[in-house]
Amino acid sequence: MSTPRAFDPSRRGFLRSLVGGSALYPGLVARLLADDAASSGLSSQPTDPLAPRAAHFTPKAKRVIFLYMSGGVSHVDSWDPKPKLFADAGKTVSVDEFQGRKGDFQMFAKRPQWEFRRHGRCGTEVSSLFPHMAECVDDLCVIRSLKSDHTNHYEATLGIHTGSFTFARPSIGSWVSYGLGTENRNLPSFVVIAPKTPYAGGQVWAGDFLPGAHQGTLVVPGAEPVANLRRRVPSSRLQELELGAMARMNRQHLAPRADDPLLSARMRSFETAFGMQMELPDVFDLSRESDATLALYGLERGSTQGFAWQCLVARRLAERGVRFVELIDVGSSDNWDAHGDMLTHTPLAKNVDQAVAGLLRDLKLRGMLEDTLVVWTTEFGRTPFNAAADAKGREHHHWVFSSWLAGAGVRAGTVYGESDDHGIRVGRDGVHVHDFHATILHLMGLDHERLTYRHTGRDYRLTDVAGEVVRGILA
Amino acid sequence: MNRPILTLLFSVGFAMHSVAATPNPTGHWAFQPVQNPAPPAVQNPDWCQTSLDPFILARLESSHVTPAPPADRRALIRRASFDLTGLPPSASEIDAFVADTTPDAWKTVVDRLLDSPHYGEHWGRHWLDVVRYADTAGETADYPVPVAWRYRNYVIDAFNTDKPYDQFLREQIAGDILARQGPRERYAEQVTATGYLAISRRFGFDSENYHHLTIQDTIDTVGQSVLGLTLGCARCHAHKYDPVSMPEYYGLYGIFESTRYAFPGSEQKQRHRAMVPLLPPEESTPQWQAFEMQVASLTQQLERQKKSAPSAVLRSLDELDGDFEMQAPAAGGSKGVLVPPWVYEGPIAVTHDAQSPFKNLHPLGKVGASVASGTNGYRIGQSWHRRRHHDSGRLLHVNLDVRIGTHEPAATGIHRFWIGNRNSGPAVEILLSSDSASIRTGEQLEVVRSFGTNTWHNLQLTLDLQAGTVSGRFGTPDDITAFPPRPLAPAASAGVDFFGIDAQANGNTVLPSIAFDNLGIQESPLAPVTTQQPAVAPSTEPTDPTAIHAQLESLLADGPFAMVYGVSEGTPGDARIQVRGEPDRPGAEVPRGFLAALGGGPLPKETEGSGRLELAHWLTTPTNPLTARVMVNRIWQYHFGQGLVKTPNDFGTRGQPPTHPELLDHLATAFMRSGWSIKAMHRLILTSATYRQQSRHSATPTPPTADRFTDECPVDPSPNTAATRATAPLPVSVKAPSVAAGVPPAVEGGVPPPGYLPRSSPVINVVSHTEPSPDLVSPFTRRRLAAEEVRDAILRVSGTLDATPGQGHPFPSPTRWGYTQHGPYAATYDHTRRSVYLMTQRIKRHPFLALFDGADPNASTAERRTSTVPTQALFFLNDPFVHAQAETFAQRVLATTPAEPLQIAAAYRLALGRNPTPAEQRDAASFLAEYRAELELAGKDNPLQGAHAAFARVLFGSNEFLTVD
Repeated sequence: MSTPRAFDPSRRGFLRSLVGGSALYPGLVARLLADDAASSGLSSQPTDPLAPRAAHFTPKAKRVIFLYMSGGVSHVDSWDPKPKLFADAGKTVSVDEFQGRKGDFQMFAKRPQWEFRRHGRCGTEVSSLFPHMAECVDDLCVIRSLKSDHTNHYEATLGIHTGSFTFARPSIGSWVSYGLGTENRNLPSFVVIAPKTPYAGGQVWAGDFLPGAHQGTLVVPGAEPVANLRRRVPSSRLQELELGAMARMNRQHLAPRADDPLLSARMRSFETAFGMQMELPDVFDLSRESDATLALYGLERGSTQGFAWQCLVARRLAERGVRFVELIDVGSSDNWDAHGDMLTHTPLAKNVDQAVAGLLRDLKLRGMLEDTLVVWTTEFGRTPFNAAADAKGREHHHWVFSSWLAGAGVRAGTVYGESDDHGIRVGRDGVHVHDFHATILHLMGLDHERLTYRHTGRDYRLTDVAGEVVRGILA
Repeated sequence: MNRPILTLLFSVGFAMHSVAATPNPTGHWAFQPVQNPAPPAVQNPDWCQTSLDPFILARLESSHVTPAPPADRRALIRRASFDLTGLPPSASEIDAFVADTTPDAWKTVVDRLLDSPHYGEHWGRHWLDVVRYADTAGETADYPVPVAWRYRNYVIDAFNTDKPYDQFLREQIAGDILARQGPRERYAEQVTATGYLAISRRFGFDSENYHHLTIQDTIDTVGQSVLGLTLGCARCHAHKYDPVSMPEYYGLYGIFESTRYAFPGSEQKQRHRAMVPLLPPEESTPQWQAFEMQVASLTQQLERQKKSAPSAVLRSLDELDGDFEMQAPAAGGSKGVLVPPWVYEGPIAVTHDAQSPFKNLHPLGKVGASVASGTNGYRIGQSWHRRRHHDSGRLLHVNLDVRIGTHEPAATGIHRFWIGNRNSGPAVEILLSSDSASIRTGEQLEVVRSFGTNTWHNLQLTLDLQAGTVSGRFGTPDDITAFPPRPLAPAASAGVDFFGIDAQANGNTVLPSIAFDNLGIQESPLAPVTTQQPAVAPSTEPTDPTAIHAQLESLLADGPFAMVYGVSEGTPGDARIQVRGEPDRPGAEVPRGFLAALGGGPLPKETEGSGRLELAHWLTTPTNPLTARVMVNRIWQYHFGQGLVKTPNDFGTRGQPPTHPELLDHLATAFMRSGWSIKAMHRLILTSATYRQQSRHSATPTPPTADRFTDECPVDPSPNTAATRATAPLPVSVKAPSVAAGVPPAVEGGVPPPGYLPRSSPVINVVSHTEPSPDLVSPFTRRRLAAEEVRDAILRVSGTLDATPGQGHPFPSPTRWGYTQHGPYAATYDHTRRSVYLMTQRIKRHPFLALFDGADPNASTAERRTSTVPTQALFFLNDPFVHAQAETFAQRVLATTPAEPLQIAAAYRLALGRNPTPAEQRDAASFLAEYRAELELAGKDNPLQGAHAAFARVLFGSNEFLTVD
């Protein structure tokens, strides 16, 4: 379980001992102590957009881990079993649109590449593409009736992240950060871990018109996961000297300026930055994780690559009070976009399968799954059919596809919604991306119709002018 | 999107529908005429320095608030330097101002700053924010626009030369049309201005397929930037709040749909085209032809050596056939998509199959257009600019290759190619049946020759507009039938400006299939039809294929002459309403025009072009209630941190009402009377007592006469500090802004003109108030530096700023572009010029600009946000840029003097423009000593410079460096 850490007492003690003997530092220390008093009441300060804020109603989940698979995972090869698609493989089906073009198209039903089998006590069917995740079905609510508005990667990726399929808008993580603030001011409230840039680039985690503090902070697996996080001066002592001198200078500057909050907020931001330098490397330091834990994720000791690393770091961020962590598995190429051959799904599934299952189990072991919402999604599915009978791949398919939710407030071990016989259209209980978002916000204690931000004379929402909370997903 | 064709376009006449009822101008303040209100009476007239001050003071007095005391001279010059140039003042500039005891001291500073070339760089950036400038197109692969910078520099130059704001707007809306009106030496400048429209955002992976969204983006931005109105709502429904009807929205839409936007390239079509030459057509056309010959020659040389040539698509604006080439079938599709300036309807395909074998017009080509046999009618055409009249004194040469499909007895329908006048009809028609070609001029109809099906034929016409005749040739290279001159139809007297290919659906009449290609209209003679590549003179050019390839690449990258990302006239036509904003649900056609509530209406009947020129005049007519108000509000906002209208892009009913409505009108009137001079507006504002107030300080403000920074200064490397104590209250001469001709006189008779300073009323005491009251404009609003100012100030004080204007960016050669949504264009190009010259991308934002709340390159940014996030602090602590500049700064400081106290003073003066206090001296000295000792302990090289660099980082990160009082 995580505890809110507005300011880590151990760090404060460390600082005091380090600077106590120097005539240069009383300004900094005084400032730190003043912060202590201010933060003990967790008072919402107008100048601090990340201060914790009360939800609209009692939340089920305190934080979100959002797993996004880039490129479009085939639903009929993973979470959505279609016996009729197996049976009718090679037969023609009629569709009135193909890859964005209207018309009458005769297409060939294409047999799924992976066999399905029932799993868990609940018996939810999952294909052999995801053998590890399949073992977790008793914790999942699989949605088999998700639908999007666009057949193109860029727009669909923007849509699943921002609710807007054309124009840049704040990301769902930014909205959650804006709605709830953060529990740990040493860390950003919204962290995105992505090895590569996804479709639509940084717009995917941008705060857009929301205050800048809500934008996602990008973590790139590797040597320097956050820009400028690594101290450039040779020792911590030197940086303390610089910060101390700056704090003193800023205090002298502040005094005759009526404690202008613009100025004091900036001073505080240096302290958070200092905190990030201390705390984020600790987040990334997996050396004290046990072999058993690493094995759970399938992470080799010392490795900083792959979805296993991303998942384990996500858990560590969640533990430390980060509100919204998004993991993107790959970028805008060499991804799930299997036009040429469905077998390209295999290595991508291998990258995420055990890692995600490990994350779910680890969260559960630590009791964190009770107040953490885990979301697994992609921008669209893949066509159950193709233009040629012998096509090896599948095209983009936004009419229906699959995702799942797990954790806090989610009706575990269930399936919500159905696609039609061949997985072409929604069969029952369709969930539009806006409904999906409304439900996620609901689990965070936020009413998607009340979480608004006024911009250019309009009150904007994540869900635009649509979206309904899907009650059937809720526990 | 398919351009819905106009019902009346191909016949005679041009209908003017009556507009569906427009909401009456509401009582909303912003739609009322600009007034020239009298300055209010105030109790303390002595406080007032310019005509605007009474408006501010009256409100303060009625709120029982005293104005903040005047700022001291150091604060003031720092404030003005950042406000006008975005750069800090140098210590010597500060000292000079502090020491200047002349009555004009402040005015001298303001004038010097306004005359600085850095002024335009800073204020141009404000405008670039508003018009969401970027160096990339913004579609899914974010194609680079290597020539966008010319528009950026046009904006900077316009501010530096104080181009009248109304002219500035007219050029941006209709500069290409104005350029043709002359003078010649301003041609390039005016054409460049239309970058304003061209930088509209592009969408999708084939952005021409989403052109309706680009037009929406244009309308949104014109509405917000010029009028302070959000017009976008009227796209889908009558505007609920503001007097903008759907027909009016599509009236504007039609104007931009009749405009041709330069195309930046996209995943589907990876080369740019329709860039606008900086030369008038009579100069550019011959250069294009020479250029094409050279490209063809080099390409052939490579092909003869069996080497691949770089992709050669770089098309002239005038090259009609180029459009077919660019609309080639999408990957996996069978048909290309035609886009404006083509207007068309019916089953027209752009296909490889329709490629003519003839090479006389274009030596290189891959596709043409075709219509399958059937009973459906079709129409395709486009306008041709400028309209040619009989007194144009030139011949027009027309080329078209056609192929009529298999002869079927049932196919009795007739295709028509015609050229003539958009309104009054054909001057000459060529009629093509399944077995013969005929020519018709007015009532005269004559068979030219019969021909066989499935064979490409070439048609060449020569129109002699002076003589009023047409002659021509029709046939294949070895079998040509010429026809002698014959009179043109009477419609030719209205001028030739349109051509089309069409066929009427006529019951069950079957049309033979048709393919057409190589459409060209030019003033120079055509080469005879041939299937041979044009003979190229044996050249002295290199024969080494690598060298040829390189030469061809650079030719294609550079083009025959400089071009801009601008707009040109397309095919004029009215748009149809898109039901609920969906382009595939066309509704009624509406006439092009401008908002009635702002004094507009339908375009005049005689309008020749798109209507942009008329729009430009509508926007800038002095009776337009919004244009001047919106701009003076922006100027006010950039000086005071908050506009008189707090929603600078929304003056509509959903926006905020002005805090000082009379002041807003006073400024708007003064602005128009000064000849729309932005610099005059700066002078009026900066010399006001309102501007010169102190920013928020503690209840006991520092007396304005005390210079507490220099009083106790122990050392001072500056030679002229003796004078720095003489900080007297600032005398300022009050001058009315110059009055320009052509602006209506004051509304109320006998009211003093703007700039007049009333002097009356007794002084009474009012309650002191130290809390910030931005609505009262007192005290002055402190602000953090904007992103560009942060970077520029660090470069400036470190001595590394390259003060020369930037130009283009080192983009990869267009011949190598292959960006896709999977692999979009992404780069940052570093330099030490001012930040306005940094390459700004739409999809992947510049990391520094994104971190410090730079403008959104995707939508109009009226106000910069000021976020305070820890990642900004990390930048100051650890970014290589900050560290490198700090080292340079340290070297600069160490070079001034060997004495440490003087070095500390030099650092303060360079970074903060002042000397340190004794306490600061002591602090700095002990910091340097301790830091240096730590470095020595750690065995680092050059600990002296290291310690000074650390001190520089402290200064760069300090609030004093990063905020303006």
